[in-house]
Amino acid sequence: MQVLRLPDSRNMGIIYALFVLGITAVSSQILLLREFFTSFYGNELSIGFALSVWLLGGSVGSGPLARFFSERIKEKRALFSFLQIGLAAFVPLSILAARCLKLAFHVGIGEIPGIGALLAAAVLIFTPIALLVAFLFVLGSQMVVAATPSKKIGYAYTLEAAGAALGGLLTSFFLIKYFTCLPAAFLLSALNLISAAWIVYACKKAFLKNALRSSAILLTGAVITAGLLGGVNYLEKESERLSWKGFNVLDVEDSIYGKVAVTERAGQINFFQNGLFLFSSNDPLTAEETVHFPMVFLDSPEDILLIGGGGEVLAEILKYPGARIDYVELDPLIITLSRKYLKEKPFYSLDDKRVLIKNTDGRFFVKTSKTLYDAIIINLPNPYTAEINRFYTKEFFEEIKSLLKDKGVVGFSVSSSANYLSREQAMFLESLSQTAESVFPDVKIIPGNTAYFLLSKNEGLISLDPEFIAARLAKKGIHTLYVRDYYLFSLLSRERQSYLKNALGRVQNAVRINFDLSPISYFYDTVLWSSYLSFSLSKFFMYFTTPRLLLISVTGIFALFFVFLFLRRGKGFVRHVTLLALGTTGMSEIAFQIIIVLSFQALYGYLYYKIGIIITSFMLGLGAGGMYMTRKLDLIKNPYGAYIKIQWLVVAYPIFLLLCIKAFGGLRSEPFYSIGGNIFAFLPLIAGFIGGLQYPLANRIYLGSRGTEVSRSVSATYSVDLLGSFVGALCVSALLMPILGIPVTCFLLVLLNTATLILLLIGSKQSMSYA
Amino acid sequence: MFRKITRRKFLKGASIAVAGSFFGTKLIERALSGADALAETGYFKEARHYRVIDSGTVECALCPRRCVLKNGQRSPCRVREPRNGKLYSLVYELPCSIHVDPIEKKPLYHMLPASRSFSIATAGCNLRCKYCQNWQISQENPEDVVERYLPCEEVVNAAQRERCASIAYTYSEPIVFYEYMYDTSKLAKAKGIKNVWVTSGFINPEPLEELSGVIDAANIDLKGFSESFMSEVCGARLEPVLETIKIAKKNGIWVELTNLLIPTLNDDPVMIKNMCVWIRENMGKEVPVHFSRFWPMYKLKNLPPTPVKTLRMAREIAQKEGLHFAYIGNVPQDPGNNTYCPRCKKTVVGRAGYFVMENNIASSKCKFCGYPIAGIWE
Repeated sequence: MQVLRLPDSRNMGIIYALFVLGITAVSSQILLLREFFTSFYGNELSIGFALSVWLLGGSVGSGPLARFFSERIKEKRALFSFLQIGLAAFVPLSILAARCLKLAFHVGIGEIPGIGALLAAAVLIFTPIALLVAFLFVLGSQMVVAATPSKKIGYAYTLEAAGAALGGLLTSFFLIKYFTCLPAAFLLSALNLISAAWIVYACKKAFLKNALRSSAILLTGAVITAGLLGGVNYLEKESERLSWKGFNVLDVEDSIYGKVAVTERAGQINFFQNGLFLFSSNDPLTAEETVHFPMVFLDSPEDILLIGGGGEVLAEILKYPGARIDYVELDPLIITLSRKYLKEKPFYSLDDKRVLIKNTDGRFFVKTSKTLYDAIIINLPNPYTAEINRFYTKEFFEEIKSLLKDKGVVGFSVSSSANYLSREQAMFLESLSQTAESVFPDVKIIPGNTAYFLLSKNEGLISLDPEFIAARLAKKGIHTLYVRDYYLFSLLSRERQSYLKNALGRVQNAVRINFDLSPISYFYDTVLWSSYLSFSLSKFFMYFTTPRLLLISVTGIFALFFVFLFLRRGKGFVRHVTLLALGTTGMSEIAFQIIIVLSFQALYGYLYYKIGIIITSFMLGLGAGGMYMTRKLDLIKNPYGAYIKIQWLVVAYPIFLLLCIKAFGGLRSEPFYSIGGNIFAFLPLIAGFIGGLQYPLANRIYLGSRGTEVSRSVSATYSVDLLGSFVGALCVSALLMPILGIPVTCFLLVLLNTATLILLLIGSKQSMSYA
Repeated sequence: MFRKITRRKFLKGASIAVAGSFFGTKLIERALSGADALAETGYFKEARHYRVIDSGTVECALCPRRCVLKNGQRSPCRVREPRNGKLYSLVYELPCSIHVDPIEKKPLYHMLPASRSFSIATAGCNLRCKYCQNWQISQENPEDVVERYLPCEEVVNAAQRERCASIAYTYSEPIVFYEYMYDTSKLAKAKGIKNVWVTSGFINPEPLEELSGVIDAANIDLKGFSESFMSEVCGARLEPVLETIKIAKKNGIWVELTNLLIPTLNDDPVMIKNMCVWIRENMGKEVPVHFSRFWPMYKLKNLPPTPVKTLRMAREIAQKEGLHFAYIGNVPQDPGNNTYCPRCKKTVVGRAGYFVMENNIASSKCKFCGYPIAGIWE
């Protein structure tokens, strides 16, 4: 590699530093998001908040902050080293903050915080690292030894991207597997401290050099000693215990899918995943309702498919003589911990011969299974993420319909409200109901605080007459505690059933069907979830349930922005549009990632390693693009012209992406299905490559246009890139994708990037003067 | 021509356009919604309990918060507002929840077992419980919920039509729809229908004295026996609730108490014991106490349900302190569902869920030994 052509020890130091910076950025983000989600009981919206805080923090750190300091402080190496020591401290500190802040905010165990506390926590937890990482990047890119200023930036960019790619892999496949959160964070700290000691080597001021070096070495020693003597583990345990105050913490373990905690109080064992309550021992009500509502209508059930389990569900199914179960559970850790802590027979029948456990994604299983089932029970949480939403879509219902025997029944449940259904709640239920009805001729809903949906291919099979259900259970000789005469008469009273029907009828024209690529039910659930935080927030979201309004708002805002830029095409126009293109690309790139991950999950299932590949391949693409362009920088005669050509690619990519999704979506037969899946996982490589090409070139134009310093240029470009990503992360995941769907979102991205392209073309005349 | 527009002018114009279109649609939406149509028809009922401070300010005297409100200012309970120096209820005859429930669901175990209760609620509440089961109405403004116009006499007619022995004011907090509850109760009483008040008891003595004349039975939620729990988890105070319980008993309302036990928040045995002692000393041994199971709800969605062991422990404490009728809610087939005769210990009312399986009470007495069982039995 060209960058290694200078075997200068100073350059080696900065190469290592930037690489570590990339690793730290991605790894600490993964760890912190997990802790934040667990402590503050989030859904994807809160992750969206957190990511936005992160990107905005980065934008501020690389923009105004870096510009202010790097123009005033001459000893760059000392500053870099100092900030890296700070970063090393903040990684574990922020994780501890994520665990302890809810106590400071008076948010109780298991309590969903208010919107204020949520945002404040996100800012306190994510800002320090985001600021530091971005600031360090700007500083670091000035310290790279290279022929031209734009090359410096190009190499720094490439190195950080490569570090980020490795960081993603390292965290997902190694750190989370073999370490708990805090020890993993300390490992990252050690990497940074070593770098801090190394980088300060060439510092000219002896005093600064010695002070920073010795403190970095001392801290590294302290971290390693603490790790070896178990101090880190002690801290980990104590902080976990604090965050579960009042409960006896039996186990907290991380799997690649999430953090599973098992707690005990008054003899009751409780399971949590990422802080969200999953199930507890001694809860026959939920198990009985989940199982008997669908199964009571079957004559002699034999093959049962259970997607997502927990508690006593298996034992309830096994009450039917002759029944055998395929039990699909994504996270093997839940099975391991259930085996360990739920031993009481006969309730937890994990080791029963009639139960076959499949540790895989339910959607993947359904796509590949050849067995036909009498009952399919989907026992999953509300579609609070786009990933879980895949189990409530029209495509999924079609898939399970093809696995359902004649006279079979499908059952699933979501949260509801017994005495009053708000408009938000009714829309959520009605969208699921219409989606199910678009596939199954008979769909019935049992009212209550949990709404149970029963789906069948045969009309007249399911009856919600309490006497009928009670009589059937009695005839089968199945003993139940709740689901029987005395309970059903009140739950299924004529009046309660008609109330539900009327409430859903009122919103029937206001909702839409839930599709894989247009996950609207996930949006309705987000609206519901946001009403836990504040009704004003949910009302704000409700405003967008009419897609046309959203479409008009979004295009309106962007149109105004572009017109504004157009009107201001004065002296700095080329610089402005160059930055604008970087921002819109940043926004598009994050949208591409979200779209690819979701489409892949829907088309092929949530295969963790493949998702890992998707994210890594994006980073690799970014790095490769950056590297390629950096090496070519000096050869390019007309950088602005090349920049426009790349913008054409950004415009074309969403179309290409959509075509791929549509093409692969149609492949159902092997081997095309598997081949498609493998190709699909590498789509982000191209997206990353395009983004990687653009960044160094933007700097070259920016530098060339003004003869500016490296710091100014990198600070402007990097912060605009992050700002674009911030807007993208917020808009695409929370609003555009769920409400408008992936196809329309792709179309909007084409529109947005074309507008940028037009402005770039307008600027091409002026650009000649810079060339 | 374009060149003449300055950046400031442009930004100003653009922001006005954006804001205008946003609020413009908002205004149209509001005009189309029922809430303002309601305001125009003047369908407000003057409140029964308030004090005029000056022409533009009133003090609401309904609950211990004693909110001082200016004209047009909405009360924290979301359903009261002064206009032209008078305080109005915004939910009079406008319930949003109307159901027919078994009386056991309230829960009231010592009142007309196995009878039906016509249950109504409006939006709003003067508390802020983090585990509210009906938060979608209790924590919401009346204009944002789906309401139905149901005059007092219609409530009574519907209750008769549905063969209900009682009308329950329940779900959210009936204190905040006091006028509707009071007027309906008066009509119902005249027609021989009982009135049931399911409440947190966070009300002032004066309105309570007035209400006592029309209410037959009350289930008062003694949410937790500490001021800190009441303020931190429910946004209320304990002391006024205890006062309510005493006044209700003194005025001849049949009172049953509910204590919903939430893991880690109010399930401390010492707290439960202190509560039972207070009940015995102030209410006697005959008052039924329901220990009910918390279910992950609203803001406490990620707290696990109450362990059955905790409920049983609470019942044992109550029995140890001499209370005759301590119950466990929502655990079917547990002995804690049934009423046992304090003297002969036989089952006088056997229950499963909200269902009465056997009733061995005749003329308000135990069929087996003749011991009088407190309650409203016929």
